[in-house]
Amino acid sequence: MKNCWEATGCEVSTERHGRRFTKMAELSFAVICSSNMNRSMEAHAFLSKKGFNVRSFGTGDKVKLPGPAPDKPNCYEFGTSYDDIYNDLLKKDKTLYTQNGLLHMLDRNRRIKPDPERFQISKDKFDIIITCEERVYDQVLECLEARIPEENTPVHVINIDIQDNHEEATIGAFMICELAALLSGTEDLDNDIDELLHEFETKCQRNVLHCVQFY
Amino acid sequence: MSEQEPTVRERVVELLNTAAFLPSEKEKIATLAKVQELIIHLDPQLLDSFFEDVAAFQKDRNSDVRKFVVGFIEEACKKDVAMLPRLVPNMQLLVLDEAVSVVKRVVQAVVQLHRATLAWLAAARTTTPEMEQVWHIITTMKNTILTMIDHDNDGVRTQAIKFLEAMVLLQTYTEPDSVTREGEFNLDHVPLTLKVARPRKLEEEARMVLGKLLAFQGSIHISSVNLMTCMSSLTIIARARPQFLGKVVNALEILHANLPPTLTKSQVNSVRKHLKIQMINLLKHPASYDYHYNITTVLTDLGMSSSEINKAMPSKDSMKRWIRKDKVGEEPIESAPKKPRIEKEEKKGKAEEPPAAVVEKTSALDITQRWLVEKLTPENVANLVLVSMINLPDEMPPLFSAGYSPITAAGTQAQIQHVARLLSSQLTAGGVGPGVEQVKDDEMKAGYDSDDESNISRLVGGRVQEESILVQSGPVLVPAGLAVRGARHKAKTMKLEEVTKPMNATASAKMQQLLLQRLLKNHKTPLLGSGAKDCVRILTVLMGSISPNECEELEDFLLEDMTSNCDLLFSWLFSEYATDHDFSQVNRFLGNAGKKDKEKQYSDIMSSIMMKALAKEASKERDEFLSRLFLEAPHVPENLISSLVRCGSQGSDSVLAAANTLKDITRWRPPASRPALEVLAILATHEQETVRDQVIPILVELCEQETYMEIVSESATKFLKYLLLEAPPEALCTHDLGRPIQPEEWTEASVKACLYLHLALLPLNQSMIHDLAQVYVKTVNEAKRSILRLLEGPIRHMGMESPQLLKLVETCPKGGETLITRIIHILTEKAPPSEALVCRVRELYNRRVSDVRFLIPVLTGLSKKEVIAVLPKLIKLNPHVVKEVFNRLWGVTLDTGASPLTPVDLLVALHLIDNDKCDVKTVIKATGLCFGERNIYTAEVLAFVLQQLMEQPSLPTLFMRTVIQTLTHYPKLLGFIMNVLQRLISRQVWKQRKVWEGFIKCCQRAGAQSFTVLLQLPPPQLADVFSVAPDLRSRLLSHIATLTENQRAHIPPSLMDVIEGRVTAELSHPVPHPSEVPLPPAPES
Repeated sequence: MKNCWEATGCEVSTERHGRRFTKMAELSFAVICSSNMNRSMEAHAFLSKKGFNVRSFGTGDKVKLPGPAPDKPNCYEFGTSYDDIYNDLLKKDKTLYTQNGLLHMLDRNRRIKPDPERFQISKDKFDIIITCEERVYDQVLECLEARIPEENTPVHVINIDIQDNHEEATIGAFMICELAALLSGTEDLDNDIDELLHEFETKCQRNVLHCVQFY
Repeated sequence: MSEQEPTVRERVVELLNTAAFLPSEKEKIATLAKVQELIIHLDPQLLDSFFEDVAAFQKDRNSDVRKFVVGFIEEACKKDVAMLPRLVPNMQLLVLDEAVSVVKRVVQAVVQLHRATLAWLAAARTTTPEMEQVWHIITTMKNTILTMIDHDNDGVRTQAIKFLEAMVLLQTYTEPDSVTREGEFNLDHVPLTLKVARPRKLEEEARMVLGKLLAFQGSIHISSVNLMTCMSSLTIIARARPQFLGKVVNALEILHANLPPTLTKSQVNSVRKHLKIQMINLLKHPASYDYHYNITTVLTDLGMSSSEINKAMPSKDSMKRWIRKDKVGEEPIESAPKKPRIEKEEKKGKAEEPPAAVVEKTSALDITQRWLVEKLTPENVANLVLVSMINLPDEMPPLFSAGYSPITAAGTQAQIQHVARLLSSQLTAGGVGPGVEQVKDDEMKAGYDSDDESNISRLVGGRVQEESILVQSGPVLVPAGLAVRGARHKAKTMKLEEVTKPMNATASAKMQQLLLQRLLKNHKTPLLGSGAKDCVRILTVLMGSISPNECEELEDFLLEDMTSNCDLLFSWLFSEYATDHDFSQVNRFLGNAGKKDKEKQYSDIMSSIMMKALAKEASKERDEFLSRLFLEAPHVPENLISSLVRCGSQGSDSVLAAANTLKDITRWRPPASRPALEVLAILATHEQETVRDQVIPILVELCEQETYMEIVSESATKFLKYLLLEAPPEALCTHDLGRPIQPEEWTEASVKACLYLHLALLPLNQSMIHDLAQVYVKTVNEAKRSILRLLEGPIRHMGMESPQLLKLVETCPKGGETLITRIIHILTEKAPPSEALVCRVRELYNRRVSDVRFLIPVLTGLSKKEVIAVLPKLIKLNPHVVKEVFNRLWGVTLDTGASPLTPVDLLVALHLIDNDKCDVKTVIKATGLCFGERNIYTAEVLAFVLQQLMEQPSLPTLFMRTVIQTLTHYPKLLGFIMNVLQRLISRQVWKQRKVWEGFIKCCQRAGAQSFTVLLQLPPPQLADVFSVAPDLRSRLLSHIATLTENQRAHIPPSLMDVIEGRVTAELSHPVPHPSEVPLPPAPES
């Protein structure tokens, strides 16, 4: 596991965080984007490779993928498996979807999990939810606010803006991984999260949104 | 089935045994989790036998294990209330655990236990001592957790907040609109008869806890996580218990206007976003109807568009339902204009006591807002903005840049309301404004635990934010009906407000006064940063609104320490000035503008400060203060400048300071230059010379500017004209000018005082000489003397070429001759007279003044002829003057060389003076003077003179006298003189009796040398000589005896007869009386 960690070339020092691998495993992460296709899946793939306990979700009404024209996206219901979508696109226009990388992405996705999941219908509880877009963040908060908390277990919702394309998704995944490592490395997350996020912000030159919700 | 039971039990035993010895916490927990699963869910009967074993793990060294135990206890108690009495004491221990994570988990669990216990109590028919004990423990833990809101750990605080939230929800009654979970236990289900936990007390406690929560949200150093948790909790409470909605909305509004200063930029963003979500949640609740206006305002501020807001609004139906419910027994008023409505509501309010709920809804915020709306006129707003402009921070705060949205609907009623709301939340947060006071009153009346903690001030950075919020305010589009509805409730408290208002005015006046005194007392203690500036600003505004009596005190206070209070004083003066001229919007805003008619005006204050300062002992400090006062005050009344004269009696240092101040006033305050110059001029007439010597140079310096010159000349002339009076006027005889007693007549000193300035200005403004001349003619002798004495310097400065002087000479006033003479004298003392001057003087002499003295100064400028013409008159003058005249002519005093008369000419001219014009004696004296100057009248010069006289057609009377004198002075000229005598013989010198007498005397003096001359005389004349001087004959005889025969032969026999006495002189010439032509004194040797 340690080797695997080092092999990633991730900037997070293993010296500092290695000791707390057990702790890291305890924190459950959810990475959420709009369609649970690109950004969240990229991060999901990256984080799970690093050994984090991670799940991914989408918050949109439907799974939307680019189509032949901007006004003609490919829409699927949540629950349609990546495999089905892959085959559907393959059938529709193999060259186009190979060229724009959709098929490649779907191929990766189907190796990680069977189908896109919608956050709103999930009953699972997490320690940390990372969203990739402010709109998604809003939707997550809306969803969590709507529930009346029962056991008051806190969940930190953090937003990092990532543009919806392959390159940014890759960079975003790195950043999310770094953040995850940072958050996992602390003894008392609730107490330190303000500082950690500030540290992360200054290091990555990104603005993050953060709030705490309760299950 | 029968086999399973022992199996489960066995498994549990086995698992517990394993768990106890497992080294890894993770596995331990996993094992214990299995046990929990088995004994709670699979076979709850086993719980009773094994719970103790599991609970024993709470002593485990690992905090995660302990955390698990907490979870286990929670689950167990929820499963079976009978577990409560057994496990709650364990929790009591765990709540004090040293691991933060365990504490957090305990707090989380206690929420459940608390609820479960209360439900258990409520459900029980009778309360057993066991129950009471459990409740007691729970209460103790509750109190412990309540204090955790101030825990060191942020996470613990977060949990404590959630605990408080749960507590409030549990210990209050639901309402029809409450948003709650199905079947959740709360106070509804607690019978009123429950003695252990009185529902009323519980509810009271809940209110207290809510107050705590609100206060916590308002604390300055709250972290963003806790802030957001708190916000959510409050929202949840508000939604579940709409009775608290008002307080919560209020608190969120205040929060919105006062975000903690410690947040970073992204935290501010997060918090704002969170606030938005909370507000939308509240908006969606039907009970929020009354607060829609407030909520939409905040939402608009947070950047939501009106369409988005409308989307978030609850459906019209639910709203209508709410309105109907609210308005039972009231006729609907929809579109009546605002004022009548308020009146109506007022009446209604009097008729029926407003229900408690409504009173609560009308918060301090609302009252202050209404109070503000009236005051937000464009002027006031402009003033506020300008006043607070100074307080803007150097850098834009993150909050502002995050939340700024441009104002599009500025000035509309809606926006005014909005700004009022924002200001109101600031004021309320700061604990000021009518709203706060009223709420306090209400609270005192009501006597219940106050919620004023929600108004915890956050003044740090508050001012800055106030400003940013003023700018932030955006358009608020509220459906008209809603706003109208909002006003309805506010109107109900109008009555109260009116009752309290007059009291506030007096109280605030009193407070203002106290504050002023306090600030004044302490304002010198150094304040950091802008504190001092603010202090001065506050003081200034306060000082603007004090009564005349206080004004006096204030002045005295300020003058006690002039240097350090200067700034304060000036800001006061400026504010008074502004008020006076109605520049000051701030004062108008404060309601001071109108009052000023009765009270002290700026000028009064200024003058009383001046007078007090002047009355003080003269010191360097005071003089500097005066100077500053005059130069920096916004306006200096003219009469005050004249009071600076008083410095004249306060020592020369003081005068110098005052003079310099006046100089600066003249230069830098052009409108006041005239009075300042006049004062300076007055000081220039000071009795003491030291004072004058200081003041006059300053005036002269200033007079280099023409405009000032005019003013100063006027004053100078005025003083000069005092000399026309019989005695020094009163104006000159003041204490300030060093003349406390008015003298009966002019003295030299007082005359000089009047003259000095004028004379100092003369060289600069030469036309003033005419005034001087006018005055000279008419004034008393004492003054004349002084003028003549003092004139020298200025005249010399003016010079001969001065056209004004020439003009004066030309138009010499009657009686002013001495003056003119003096002037001309001064002019020519050091330089030869210019042609123009000579010309003018000659003119004057010829036409008007016959006094020859007039010409003396310009003698050298006159032609030879003219000089000769006036010479007779000149030599008649006093011998000193004559000497002076001659000196001028000889060029002794001035080495100019260009005298019209050479010494030779002069002496010749003297000889040629007609006896009619001048008697001989005078001429003799004059020639005597000439002979006195042996440097000038050397032998050669005299030889020339004699030569020239010889050439005259008739020999001058004094010719021979001069010859004899020449001989006496220069015996070496004997030969020359003999020659002259011989030539005289050829001119038949005996025909002129006086010359002849002189001739004889000369021969007598010359002795033997004259014998050859005598021998050339015709016999009768020789006889005449002998008759006058008999001794000559014998000497001549003896001389002839020594002659050779040849020589004797040349003597005619007739002559010999005379010599030998054979012919006595019987000439008809009468012998002149020797006294007629006095001989020069015999030579010494």
